Formats: sequence, C-alpha cells, structure tokens
Amino acid sequence: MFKLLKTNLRHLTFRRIFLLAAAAMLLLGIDAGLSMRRNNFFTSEDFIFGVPIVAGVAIFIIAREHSDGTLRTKLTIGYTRPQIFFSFIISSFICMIVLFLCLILPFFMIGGISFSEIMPAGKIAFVFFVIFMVYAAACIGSAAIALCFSRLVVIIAVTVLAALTMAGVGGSAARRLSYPATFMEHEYDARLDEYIASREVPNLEYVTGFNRDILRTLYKASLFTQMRGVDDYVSVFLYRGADVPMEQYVEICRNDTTLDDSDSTILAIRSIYQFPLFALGWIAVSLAAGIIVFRKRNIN
Amino acid sequence: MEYVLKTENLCKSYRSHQVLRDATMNVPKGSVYGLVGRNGAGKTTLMRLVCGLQTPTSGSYSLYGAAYNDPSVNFARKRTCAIIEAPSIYQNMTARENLDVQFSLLGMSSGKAADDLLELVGLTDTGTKKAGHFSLGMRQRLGIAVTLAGNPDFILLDEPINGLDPQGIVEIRELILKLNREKNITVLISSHILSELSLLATDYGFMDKGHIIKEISARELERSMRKSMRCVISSAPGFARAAEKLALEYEIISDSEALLFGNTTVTSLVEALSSEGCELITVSGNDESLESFFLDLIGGDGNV
Repeated sequence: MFKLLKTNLRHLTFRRIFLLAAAAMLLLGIDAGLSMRRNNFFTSEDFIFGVPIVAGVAIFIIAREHSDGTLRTKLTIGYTRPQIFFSFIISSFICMIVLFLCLILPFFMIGGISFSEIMPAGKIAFVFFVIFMVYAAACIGSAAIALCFSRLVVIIAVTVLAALTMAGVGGSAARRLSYPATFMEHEYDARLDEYIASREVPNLEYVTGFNRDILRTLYKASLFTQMRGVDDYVSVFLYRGADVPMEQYVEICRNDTTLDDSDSTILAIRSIYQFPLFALGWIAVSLAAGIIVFRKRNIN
Repeated sequence: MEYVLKTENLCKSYRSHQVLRDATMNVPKGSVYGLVGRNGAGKTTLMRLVCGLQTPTSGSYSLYGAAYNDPSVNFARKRTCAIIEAPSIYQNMTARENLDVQFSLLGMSSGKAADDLLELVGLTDTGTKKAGHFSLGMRQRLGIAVTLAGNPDFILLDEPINGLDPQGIVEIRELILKLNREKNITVLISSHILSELSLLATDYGFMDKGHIIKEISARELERSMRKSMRCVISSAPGFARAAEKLALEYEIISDSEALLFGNTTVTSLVEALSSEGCELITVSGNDESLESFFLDLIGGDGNV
C-alpha cells in the first residue's frame, strides 16, 4: 500500500494538470486575499471555484491511469483492489490538501490580518475547516467515481450530474426555507395614490414541521449550500449591525428557537456546525459505494 | 508435469452474452503456450480473468497452485506480469521513468536493472523522449520491459505483435524466445498470426466460442498434422480415380493441381496415375499448416 501511495504521489509531479491546478488555486487565493485586504469583502466564490479544480485533478489523474492501462499493471502484479482503491483515494486527498494550501496560504498572507480584525480566530479556523471538508468530500467523491468508471467522458458526466443534483436540491431547499412565515399586505388607494393600510398575513408557501426539517437536512447535506452557508455566516460578522457583541449575537441566533430561520444568516449560523458532519457522511458514502463497485467491476 | 496456470470450467458472461464457456486450460511451467482462436473466441477475456482484472462468472483457476479466490493468489501474481491488448505505460514519461515507476511499485530499486532492461529491449537511446511519442513497436517493447521489471516467472502477452513491422515482429519473437530459453520464463501468448506463433509455441490451446477445444504440445501437433503431397497433373479426373484406387484421401485444387493425403510412395502413385491415363508433372511434400489444422479443428474457415 505504501509503495502504491509513494508511486502515485511521485507520479503527480509528472502531471502538468496538477501544476496548472496549483497555479489556479494560488491565483484564486491571491484574489480572495486582495478582496479581503482592500475592501473587507469576503465571498466564498473563489473557494467555490476551487472545488471543481480539486475534483478535476482527481478525475483526470485517475482517468489517465485507466487510459494508459497502468491501473491494470497494479492489479496484475498482485496489489489487491482495496489497496489500489484506497491508495488512489489517499493520494487524491493528499493532492487536495496541497491544492487547498495553495489556496488559503496566499489568502491569509494577503488578507489574514483584515479577516482577523472582523472575526475571532477560532471562528475563522472553523469556517476554513468547513471549506476544507467540502473540498475533501468533493475530491474523495470524484476520485471514487473515477475509479468506478473507465471512460473519462462517463466519469465527467457522472460527476457533473452528481454536482448539479447536489446544487439543485440544496439550492431548491435553501430557496424554500427562505420563504418568510408572514408578509405585509398593503392596501393601496388609487384615488389618493397612496397606501392606506398594511397588515401582516401568513405566507401559505412557508414550510413548517417535518417538511421543514427535511428541507433543513437537504440544505445541510448539499456541499453547494454549505459553501453558500459559509458566505452567509461570514456576512454576519462583516456586514450585520447588532446591538450586542457579535459573538453574543451569533449565540442568540443559534439558541433562540423563536427566531425564524427563513433568514439565511440565521439558518447558516444554526447549521454551520453540522456541515462538516454531513461532508463526512458524503465521504463515508463515497468510500463505501466506491469500494463495493470497484471490487466487483471489470477492468479492461 | 508442473503447471503454472490451470483453469477449470471457467465461464464469463457480460449480462446475457457468454464469452467464456467451461474453458479448461493447463499451461506447463517453462512453456511458450500459444493461445489460438478467432476474433471474439474469448482469448483476451481468459487472460483478463487470469490477471485478476475481471472475476469469473463460474469455474475456477489457479496460479502457481493458488486458487484465484484465495488471498495467496496475490503472492502468485507478484511472479506474473501481463500485456493485455496494449502495453501499460505512462505516456507522459520516458522509458526510463516508466521503469523507475514499475520498480518503485515492486518495492525494488531500479538503477542498473532498469538500464539492463532497456538494453534488452533495445530502448537505450530513447533519452528524454516521452513514451507517448514512441512508435507502436517501441511501446510494445517498453511494455515488455516494464513487465520484466520484477523478474516474473510467467508472462501473459495478448497479441504482442499486432501492428508491428516485420523487423519488430522478429525482434519481439527473438526476445520471447530468449526469455523462455535463458530465463526459463513461462509465456502465455495469444496471436492471430499463426505462422508467427508456430515459430514460438511449445504448447497450444485452441479456442472457439469460449471453449478450449484442444490442448496439444507442439510435438504432438507436428505428429498429428496430416502430411500431403502436392501434385501437378495432366488430368484431374484421372488423378481422382487413381487416388480412389490407392484408397487415399485427396483434394482437387484446380484442373492441374491436387493434394494427396496419407502414406504412399511416389512409385505406386506414378503407376496408379499412368494406369488412369494421367501424367504426373511435379510432386512436392506438403505439411499441413497450423492455420489449416486450426480451421479443420473448428470446422470452418472463419476469420483467424
């Protein structure tokens, strides 16, 4: 296993795609850092762009093993399928860590001081832990898909389909959760050309009870909405005015159940601590499904 | 006799399509085993199963006595190497780098061993050229070098001379013979080019429609191949009557050419022909080829 891992990692240095990906991550990190330093502006966009990059690197490197036929060699010289599977997963993960460092190091070097003035260090660390787990789930999931199919086109199609499904389901859940419980209805007098009365009416689209719990779960499970949640969470510290210290405000939002989570920042504050667990769940599901398929599949 | 590979009633199906049906094969140690069969006979599938790339639907095989589903087969595989369809090499690496990777996978240091292998396959002068830019023959030779990296005792080669130029074919043939004779490496080789295979193989397995229909050593094959006389004659009907008189099998090729099977002397043939008013112009000995033996075996002249 160690020999396999060593060979896979050594092999990476020959891959132009890895070096290109590292350069792209550096640029994204620099861009995010400059935004933070110049404008105190944080967006997860730069970090979202990094997700397909790490997934793409894992996919292309493993797909190349299929097309070069070198995966066959590993089997024919006596490595077991689980050894091969986990060696690729671990090497993809290590590769992802290197790329992640290429992203966050320039970000912190350029914008770290500005960021730490806005958010406590512990919370910054946790935010980046959430992003790291999203990267890990995307990378391991993509690597598992790449090991389960031989053709690059199929691998890309399955991965894109999975990503779109995740984004679609998560995005839809987030949208439906954002419907407010009530809205104001205004009565307009055309003759006077002004609103003459307003009243609060219940929103029939507002989802309650068990259905709302399902939507919350889908929101937390989607890696796409996790990244959006990070944005919402950080935006509380960046832009939201509160009449209590910010950390106290966050605790209130987390614990006060009377506050409606149709506000995306409240939803993010309440969910963010569960995001890594859901990402871990995806990693476990990817590994379990991947090893089951990879152990049985025909390799050409 | 000691066998490197034994398969027993090996079957493989892809959904409803059965590719291998009860394939039973025995590869003796130290042999060059030629696997002969038409396109789609199941040769590559059989090799894939033996290499562990696919699992059999039913039946079993053992490699160096280790059953395929026993964990010890992985140790047996360490003594095995294969080129299935195309050589498994990293296209973005040089020949030397490919060998370094293979040695690293095997937990061995490359160094002089890699240089020796490059010399053995004639790729010492490739320098920094990437394998992706190699010719088919060079890739094939690099693939063989990679398979030899761990000093295997058993090599499986699936159509190793496909697409090679005549010189490449000779080089690969000589390399295989050298490995077999000097290093006592057992080779399982499949090829469509039966004339080429007949220059290498010490044993044969004939495959048709997923079955191994016959296993035979090269010596037995030589004995069992029918000898014939190719005769150039003045009259085909006269030849036919003379052959019937001698109670020998024959085959009329054209009005002036025929094959006569079985044992007879030229004198008795000339006598029989002259009594039928047929003149024998020339006569030559004609051994049945591996190709016609195979075609006879499968009962047709399909695409070999």
